Amino acid sequence: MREQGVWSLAWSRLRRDRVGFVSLFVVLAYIAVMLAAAAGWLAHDWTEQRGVSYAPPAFMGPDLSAAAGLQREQRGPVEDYGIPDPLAPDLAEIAKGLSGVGGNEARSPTLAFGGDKWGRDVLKKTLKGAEVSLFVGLAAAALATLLGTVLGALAGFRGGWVDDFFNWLYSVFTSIPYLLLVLAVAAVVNQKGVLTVSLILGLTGWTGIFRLVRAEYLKHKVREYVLAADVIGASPARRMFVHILPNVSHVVLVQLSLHVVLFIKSEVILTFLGFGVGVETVSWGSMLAEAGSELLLGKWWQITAATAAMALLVTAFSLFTDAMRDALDPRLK
Amino acid sequence: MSLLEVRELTVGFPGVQAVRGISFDVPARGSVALVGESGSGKSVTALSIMGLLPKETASVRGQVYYGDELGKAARVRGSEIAMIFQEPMSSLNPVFTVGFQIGEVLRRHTGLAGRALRERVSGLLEEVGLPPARAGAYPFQLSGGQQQRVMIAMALACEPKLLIADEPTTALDVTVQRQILDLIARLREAHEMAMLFITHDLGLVAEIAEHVVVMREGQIREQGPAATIFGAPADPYTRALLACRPPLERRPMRLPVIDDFINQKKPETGERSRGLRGDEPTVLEARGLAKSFYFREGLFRKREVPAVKGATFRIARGKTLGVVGESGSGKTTLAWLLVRLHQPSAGEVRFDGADLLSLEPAAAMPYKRRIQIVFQNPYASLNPRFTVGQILAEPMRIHGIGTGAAERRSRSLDLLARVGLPAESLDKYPHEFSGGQRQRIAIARALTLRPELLILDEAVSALDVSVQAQLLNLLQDLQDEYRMSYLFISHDLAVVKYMADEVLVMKDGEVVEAGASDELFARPRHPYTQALLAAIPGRAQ
Repeated sequence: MREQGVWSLAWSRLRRDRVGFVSLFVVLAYIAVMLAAAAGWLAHDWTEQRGVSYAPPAFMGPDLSAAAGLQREQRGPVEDYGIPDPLAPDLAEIAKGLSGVGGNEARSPTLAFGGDKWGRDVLKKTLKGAEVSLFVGLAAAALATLLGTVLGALAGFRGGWVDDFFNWLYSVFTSIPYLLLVLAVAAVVNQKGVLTVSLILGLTGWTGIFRLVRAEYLKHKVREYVLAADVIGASPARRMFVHILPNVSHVVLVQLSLHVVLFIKSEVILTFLGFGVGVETVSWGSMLAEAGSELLLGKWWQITAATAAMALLVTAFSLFTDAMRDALDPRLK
Repeated sequence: MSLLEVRELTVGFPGVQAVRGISFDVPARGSVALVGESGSGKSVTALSIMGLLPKETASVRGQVYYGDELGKAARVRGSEIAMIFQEPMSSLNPVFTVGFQIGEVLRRHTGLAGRALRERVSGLLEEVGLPPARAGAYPFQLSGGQQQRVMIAMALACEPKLLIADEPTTALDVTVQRQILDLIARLREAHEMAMLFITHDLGLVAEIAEHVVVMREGQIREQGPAATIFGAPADPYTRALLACRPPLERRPMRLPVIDDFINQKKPETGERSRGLRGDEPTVLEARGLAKSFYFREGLFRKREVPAVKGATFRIARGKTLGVVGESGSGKTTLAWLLVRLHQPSAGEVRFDGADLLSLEPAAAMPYKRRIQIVFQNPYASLNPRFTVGQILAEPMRIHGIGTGAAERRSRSLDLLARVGLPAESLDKYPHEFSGGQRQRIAIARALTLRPELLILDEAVSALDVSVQAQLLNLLQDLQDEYRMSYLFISHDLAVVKYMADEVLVMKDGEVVEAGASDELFARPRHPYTQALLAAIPGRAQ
């Protein structure tokens, strides 16, 4: 009979943790949405202007005051003291050209969860935004974890001047306020896009992981199993990555998922401040950026959709991280 | 009259039955020893008498009478019943002075304060053999033996009638252990205390206890007066425990193990003779080997702490060089120098014509194969994320032994069989094995490279005596079979006497005495060696 390995033990512990297991499913569902959106199966038509401007959610019914306002506008030219607007036909032409084929006639007065200023479906924007936000979170966390782990392993295992150098680098990075550093890099790169945001966040966010991994390596490199590997002739690289890394992987994995949460939030902040993804893409951050002026008009659905989607993901991911930490913590002697 | 009566005590934890219905008495002013190996339930028994087991997990049944009163024992703990533990360092609070900690016990139980309190603390320190000025010291400023003295002073603070000592000397060096045992005996006499002494070491029991209770797997195997237990043990397990410690007087071919006694096997007769004839080829020769560590002191100064000072020795092929010494004597540093885990400060090591220590890492690879080491702690020396199969295959893969995975697997299986583990072990992880089994795996890993010199750094010290005997037998068989040389490091003189042909005695980094094993143990010349030998429990009288 093959005995249970460390990973299968961790898996069975995770399955016993009900909250963690449900969170895992929520996270997996988000990742499925992300992949479906990236493949174009979902919300590929989010740019289409299906509804009227600020179309309210379907369960609220059409916005009557907006319709009345529209009628007032239409009555407008009649009450202009008999002087016809000389540009009116041209403007109508332009408006018709801008708003696509159907114009206002083809637009629906309500959308599933409301529409934005241009009448785009907020629900589709949220789904498409999940693609960008989650991708940025995952990619940036992967990059930061890779950097932090490799540099931390080198610094902790090698010691000496290697350790001094990376510690100096760590001090430089952590001495600059985080948001300022991110904005500075963003300003220098000056190129908007999903990959750029991932790079910025990944390149600036490795420091915490570096510190933890370095400490773990300092602790493990003098453990007897590593010394035993040295005595049988295992090379330093082999000791670092084949022997020690699996034994500190729980730290790395937990940090990875913590940073996914952190970077999803950071992307939102960056985009909100105008340094994130460009206007041609939608993310929860860009939705929130639009929401500021909408709220003044009482259009609450876009901010609600983006916030709810993000809150659910972040909560689920955090709970999943907690469960994973409990499951992976090797209390094996 | 009995001071403490334990009747049908049963303690269970979820999934295990730690103690199964045991009964024994501790007479007033008497001393009782609870002896057993790990997992025998002896510490759990002590904790349940004190009422210190966690209520959420432990289910305790049975009766504990203290002075004929049921359940009183737990109420009078700290005042009439005191306890000392194995690890003095973790029993003392590191942020308070020891004087404060002793004083706290007095304040709580006697209400002393001010000058009277300080005088009582000084008196207690004096009584346990510490200068009263040490009251202002923090635990980390004291040695292990001094810490244990402080613990004893705290236990004595309220003039207890019963002292429970749970392995109080196990973490201490043998000469310090001797001092602590003498101290406990003297204090017991002076204060007319009863004592329940818990230990795994039968040698200690012979000296300290009048009455002995032998436990195994939660049950009492045998109890009676010490003279009877040692003179005419009735239970095969007791007989086995007594026999499987290597004796100092003679050297049987094989140490008896517990199964031999349970199965009533005839013990082998015949003695093994040790020592060199003088014509054995030399495997390794060290000259003036030294290692110092440096600590920064102040801004520019460095303090040199020599760990090994100019050790010179040679190891003969197929023979065992024993190294004995107390903690901090430099034994382990010496071993680490030989396997290049430390860079030496001076000296050379000749191995097969090459100076091992001056070789570049790449040039040293072929030699790594020929010198292997087994570490002390079987729980730390195996990678917990590797299966046993991976652990055994790795050295062969690194050194290109065997042509493929299949051949390495079959070699691993042979070695597992050789060290007495079943073939299924290959796919298991280290945490599924006991300490003794893990040490067998570590030995098998070293054997994959067929080393000429195997360094055993306290390799059997963390194991129970019965498991220790099995491993010593295994090591001896392997040496006979493969003609390996051993560098056998231990603080345990009896084990070194049993295994070694020649012995080095180390103290504070220096080799103070060296010679043939029989000669050195029979006629020690250096005062330190004499002190070490005199401190072996069960030998003084």
